[in-house]
Amino acid sequence: MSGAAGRAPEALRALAAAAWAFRWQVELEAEVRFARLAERLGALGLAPQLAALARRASSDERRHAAHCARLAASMGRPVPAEAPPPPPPIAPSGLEEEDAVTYELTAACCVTESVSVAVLTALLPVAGDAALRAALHELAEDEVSHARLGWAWLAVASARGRTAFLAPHLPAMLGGAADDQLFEPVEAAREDPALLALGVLPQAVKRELFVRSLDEVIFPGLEGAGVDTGAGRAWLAARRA
Amino acid sequence: MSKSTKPNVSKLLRVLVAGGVSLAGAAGVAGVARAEDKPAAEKTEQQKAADAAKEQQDAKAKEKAKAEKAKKDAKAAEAAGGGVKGW
Repeated sequence: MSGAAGRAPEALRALAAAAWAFRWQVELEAEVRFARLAERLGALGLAPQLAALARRASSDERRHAAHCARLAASMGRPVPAEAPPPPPPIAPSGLEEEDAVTYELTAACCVTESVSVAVLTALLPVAGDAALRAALHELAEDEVSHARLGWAWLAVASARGRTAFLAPHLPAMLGGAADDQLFEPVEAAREDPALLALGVLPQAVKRELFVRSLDEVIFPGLEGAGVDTGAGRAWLAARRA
Repeated sequence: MSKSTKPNVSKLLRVLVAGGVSLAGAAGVAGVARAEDKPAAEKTEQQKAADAAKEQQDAKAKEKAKAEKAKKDAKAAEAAGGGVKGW
């Protein structure tokens, strides 16, 4: 064990290793999700360039998963040999295919990938060693492109007058994106600023970034695409109360 | 939170959302709008009458579809969707 991980106390290293192992799973699920979205976008035939972008995103995610696995292992927690099961579709039942694709891209890209860009941007300047910094930099560049894919598709859907249906679904979409304990007090170790050097945000910082990303990027972006964010904003206000 | 862990979120808005919108433009959204905006060609009286009848038929079908869609949307809103966990 070398670099920042080698210098960190055991408890913090274990927390960081768990975070990187979780990210490995998230990235592999994203690989499958983007591959499926590429096929569905291709079948819809509305924006072939975006289907190609989704295909590229899928292979990016596989590469990201390898970085996450390597970092988790370097902190003492090798990931399982087998990949996690493919993620289930997340769009509510009853939507037409085009709207279901819009839902999934909004959730995966406009929300989750946009928040990921904010997280990576926060982690980059405080990464504890060069190898970690290089991995974070590579991931950040790709995640910008993945988030843009969602915003681009939302612009397509908006031009076709098919975004308003998202409004009542925002609470479920945001609830599913947020870490289960994001708005709850957590053990002191999870607030330790020393986690930053290992590529992990202390919980309060993570919460603040999530909230600011919603307030300053995601809600304005959705509104610009014709989505009423009232229900989403109410969901956020209730979490913060 | 230390100052260095606060990214410029407004800048992210420009980079992500505005970048996505211009990407959509490059991917053909503008083309969709142009196709819809094309003016109709000149029509004969016969064509106009046929069009009017078709319009009436379409309006009824649209009403029906709208009612069905409203029902479907209400059901869809009830069936909770999910979100995607990330970093």
